[in-house]
Amino acid sequence: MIELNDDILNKYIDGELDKELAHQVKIKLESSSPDMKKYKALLSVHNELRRLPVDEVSPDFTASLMLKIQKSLKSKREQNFFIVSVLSLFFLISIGIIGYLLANYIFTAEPGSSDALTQFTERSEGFVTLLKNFFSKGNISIIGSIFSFILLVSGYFFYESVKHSKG
Amino acid sequence: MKGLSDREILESVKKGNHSDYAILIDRYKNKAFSMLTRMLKNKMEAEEVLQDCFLKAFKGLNNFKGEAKFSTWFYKIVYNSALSRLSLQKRKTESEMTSIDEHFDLKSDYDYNISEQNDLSLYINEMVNKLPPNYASVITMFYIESMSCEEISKVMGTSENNVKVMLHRSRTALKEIMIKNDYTREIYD
Repeated sequence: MIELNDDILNKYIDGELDKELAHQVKIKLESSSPDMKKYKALLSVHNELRRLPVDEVSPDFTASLMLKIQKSLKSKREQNFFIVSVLSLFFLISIGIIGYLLANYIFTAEPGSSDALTQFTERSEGFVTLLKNFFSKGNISIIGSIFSFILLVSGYFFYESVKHSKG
Repeated sequence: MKGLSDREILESVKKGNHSDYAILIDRYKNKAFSMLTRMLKNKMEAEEVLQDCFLKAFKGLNNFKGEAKFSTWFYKIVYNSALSRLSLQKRKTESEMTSIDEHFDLKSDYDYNISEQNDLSLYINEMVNKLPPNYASVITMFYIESMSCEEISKVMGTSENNVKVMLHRSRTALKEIMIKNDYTREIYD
């Protein structure tokens, strides 16, 4: 005769035993009162667990969560806008500097040789010299300071916006 | 809109209808909250963690490829968040809390309030709330969320057999304590 333990009874309740074994368990339960008591107790736990109450969150849970989600979406958009703005600013400043240098060179250049290649070489050399002068020891610190300042200010505002969105 | 499947709602949210996410929140909030409450043993903390879970899920929606059910994916987030919170608590308090995988003994731990509860359902509920987090999560996923052992094993990242062992062990422990505290009279009668 089969010996009933908790493991077999649990499997019997869950319907995990094969047909033959399940039948043996059934016969044993019908003939043994202590086993039947054990089974009934286990079955009663199983039935009570099926009736476990579902806890409820606070009534404004969904509303407050959706508000948080909207806020996070908004701040993400703001962050993207901020990054694009800063990059555009850098781009514009760079374009401005190059434009200024080019204009400066073109308007100050004297008409030289009529040969196109020579003219191009001369102008290129002149442009390089102009760039060298622009980024000379005296100017480089000023340009560096301006860029560092812009980076610092951008970094600060970016940090603040990230902090704000996380808060 | 409420009759839509999770997948349809997710598609709608991904298309930009963010407000539809509220339907998913309403669908899962209470059941997930039940699991978190039983794991963390603190309702306020459970609600806080649940909010984070829904936020994490929303932000990670693009990573959800739909290979598994949304519920399995979401409960995985809930379960892992609860475990992270528990390990944080453990570190913070440096308590002597036993490992969540460790074997538990309801009989010795939960004798103190046996006389307070006369109703069997409430008593069982109280006992489930006192189960170790892993076991409590298995019970809530199996009985409240009606998940199969296979789905639970995916959520917990363990084997299906392990889930069954935890389920059986919990039931047996509850049965033992029920017998010990004479709650079985009404069953046998």
